[in-house]
Amino acid sequence: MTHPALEVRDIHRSFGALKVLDGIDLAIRPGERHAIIGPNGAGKSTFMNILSGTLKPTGGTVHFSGEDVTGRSPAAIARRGIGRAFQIINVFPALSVEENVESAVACHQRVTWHIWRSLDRIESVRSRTRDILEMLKLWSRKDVPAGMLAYGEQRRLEIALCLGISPSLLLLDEPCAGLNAEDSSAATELLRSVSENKTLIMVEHDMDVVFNLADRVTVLHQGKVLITGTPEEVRSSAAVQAAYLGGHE
Amino acid sequence: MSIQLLGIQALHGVVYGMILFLITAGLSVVMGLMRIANVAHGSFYMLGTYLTVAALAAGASFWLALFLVPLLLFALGASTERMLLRHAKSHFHDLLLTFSLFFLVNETVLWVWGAQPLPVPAPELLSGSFALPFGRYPIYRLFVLATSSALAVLLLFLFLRTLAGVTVRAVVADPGMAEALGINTSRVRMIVFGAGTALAGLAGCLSGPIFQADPSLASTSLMSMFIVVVLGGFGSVTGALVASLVMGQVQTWSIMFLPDMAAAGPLVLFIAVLAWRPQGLLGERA
Amino acid sequence: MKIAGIVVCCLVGALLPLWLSPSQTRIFTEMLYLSLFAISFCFLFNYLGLLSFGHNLCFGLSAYAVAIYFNSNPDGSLWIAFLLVIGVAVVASTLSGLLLMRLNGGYFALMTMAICQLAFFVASKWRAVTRGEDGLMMSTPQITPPGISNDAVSQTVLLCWLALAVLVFGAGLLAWYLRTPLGRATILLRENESRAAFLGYDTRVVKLAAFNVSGIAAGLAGALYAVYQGFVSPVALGFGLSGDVIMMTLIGGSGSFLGPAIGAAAYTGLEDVLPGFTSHPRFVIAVIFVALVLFVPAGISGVLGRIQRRRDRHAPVKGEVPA
Repeated sequence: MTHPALEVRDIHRSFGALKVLDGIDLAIRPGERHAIIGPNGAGKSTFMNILSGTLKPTGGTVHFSGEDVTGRSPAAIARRGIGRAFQIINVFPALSVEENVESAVACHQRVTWHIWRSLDRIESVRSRTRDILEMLKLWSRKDVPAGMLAYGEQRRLEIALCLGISPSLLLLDEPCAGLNAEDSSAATELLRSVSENKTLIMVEHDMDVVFNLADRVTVLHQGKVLITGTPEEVRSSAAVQAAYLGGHE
Repeated sequence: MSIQLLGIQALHGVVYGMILFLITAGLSVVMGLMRIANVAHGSFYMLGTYLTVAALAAGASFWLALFLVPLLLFALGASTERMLLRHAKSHFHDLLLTFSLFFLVNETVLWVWGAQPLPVPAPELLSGSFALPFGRYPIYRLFVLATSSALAVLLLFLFLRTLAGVTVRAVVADPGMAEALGINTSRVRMIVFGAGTALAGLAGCLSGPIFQADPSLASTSLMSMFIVVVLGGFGSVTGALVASLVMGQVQTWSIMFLPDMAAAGPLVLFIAVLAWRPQGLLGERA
Repeated sequence: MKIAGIVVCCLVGALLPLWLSPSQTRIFTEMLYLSLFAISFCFLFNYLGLLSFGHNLCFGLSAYAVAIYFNSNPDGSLWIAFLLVIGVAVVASTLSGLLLMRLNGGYFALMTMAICQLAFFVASKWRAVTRGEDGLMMSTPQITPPGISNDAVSQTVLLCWLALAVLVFGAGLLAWYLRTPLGRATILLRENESRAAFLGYDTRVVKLAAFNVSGIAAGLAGALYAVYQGFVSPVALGFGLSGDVIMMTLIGGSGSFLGPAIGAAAYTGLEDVLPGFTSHPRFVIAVIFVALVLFVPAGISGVLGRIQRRRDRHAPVKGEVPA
């Protein structure tokens, strides 16, 4: 029996007296595209932080492909093949686009301690970097410092960095935040191709993206799972509509 | 190890602890307020001692010095904050500024007063010793104890029970919110910095007759000061009091049992505490 | 193009002592090893964004190591001395690095100060090994490069060439390090430490490596200092030197190699010239230090600003505010 790509059991997280996550259970199949939505304050960011290792849960477990990764550090989780992209652009601003992705690839290829080699001469790193940049249509901008890219390009770089570590599970935090409708649909297609043969979990507020891309959707509300189901099931659920007070966003 | 000896030593420890409190109360609040490690704070303490020497040499009485020196240092501290630190562009810049001030004061002291330690005579009125249950104890030190205890009570009252104190604590807790509530945070900073410096100067004046005027005072007191602030928590006067009294005992007893290593005590303690809890004992940001 | 420039500088540097008087050559030698010391300090500052108030730890410990080695082996070899120094530097930077790697900003600076002060204290008290505050006189080793007879070139010039060679080696080591994957990881830490962790980098180990490289360079400078002075005292581990190197960085402006070298040269020049003008040269230097920090040229404040902006940057949620 294959393990779920991600299995979360009874996750709790409190900050002092404030209970942010109150028993989350979730199992995500390998290759699935899964969206997590919910009103503000539902606990989505906290949940993502627990999955990527920034926060430790105060209770419960996280299993990644059958392996217990509860409470591991972000670096350890990344090395196991979980890649995270952030809502607020979180790249290396003074480095060029190519150098940014190179850094991710180099870590994944475990050449960090090869101190007898110069990084820009390692062919395997360079070719993989090129592949990723071309897939995300950033190769033409490879020498531009990351801090000087247009916003849409920076969003793509966020994802490129995430891909650099060849993850099998992608955790994306509002990948379409701040994009207009046209960029959004382009981004959706990009996300679709980028997540071929990978498991994708994303937090999103843009319902068009969610309904176009996700296989299943989980709605979080006040730290609990309200419903997990297909986009249609979620859309037609009365409980979800009540939680959102009659509208989304 | 007679009871008398233990008693005397313990009392030494309390006196030392109280002096340390006067020095660090201001530092702790300043660090809580401004989030910088003020390396120059020990220099202000040292200046307190040396200005007392200068005042006495100019013919002033000890009592006059005790009054004037803190005032002078208040002015010095407030103007330092106003003219220098306020223009700091970043926390690095702050650090560098205080570090450079530390050097400047050190070199100034060396120039004006030379490298040899200078004695600071206590006033006639306070010379001699007083009979306590466990032995005779210098009157001057009892005076220091009395004065600093009174000041401690005053400071705690001010900090915990008055509007001024609440204002300061508000700015420590959340400067943005305090501004939004209409508190003039830059004036608060200036006054607190000045007051902290004045207290350090007062400590310098009081401790002159006990520890002498020594150009190495600024550097040797540095680690003791910071360990108190780290242990007691930034921005906490109560914490500074408790931690100072503890450090006072630690220092005094280590001088007695391990005289050669005593100076390293605060260093080792500081390293140990930060190694164990890199975020400080109370989880404050650096 | 850059390589050509470096080669030219080295040639000029090598030829200079033949033309200068012995005392001028001595000053030039001092500039050379202080440059290496300043470069090692700037390395930590530029690439890790860490301000160290006790950078002379490896410098001073290496100086003592060299002095102790040559005192017990008057005919010892310089090669062995330098290897010893590298070993001492690695041990010292790793041990102190273990304490430092979780710290940032003000805490980091204070901790470096505490560690160096502790070393100063031990050096002052451990009379058996270090002669305490009296310091260790050292029997200066003869520098005997192959192919040059002792009479053709004086020891002063040979020491200068040795300093130049070590400077080039040390700076070269740092430059090479930056081009390796590990060096890139170090730069990533300055740019965005949390993201580097999310890529899978073990940030604490990378910091340790950077401390080691910087410490080795500082240690090499300390070894030269010992040979140059012929005498090592706790001053090598004291506050004064840690302040001096910061000042050199401020004078020299931003940059990883040329800047600190300029700063070291300017500072050495100042130290040499000031006693002629005033009986309190250290006071004047302190005033200049404050002035520099206050009115610091755009270059350095640009660096400081950049680093601070990165530090203040919102790293995604470190757990205080739930969402």
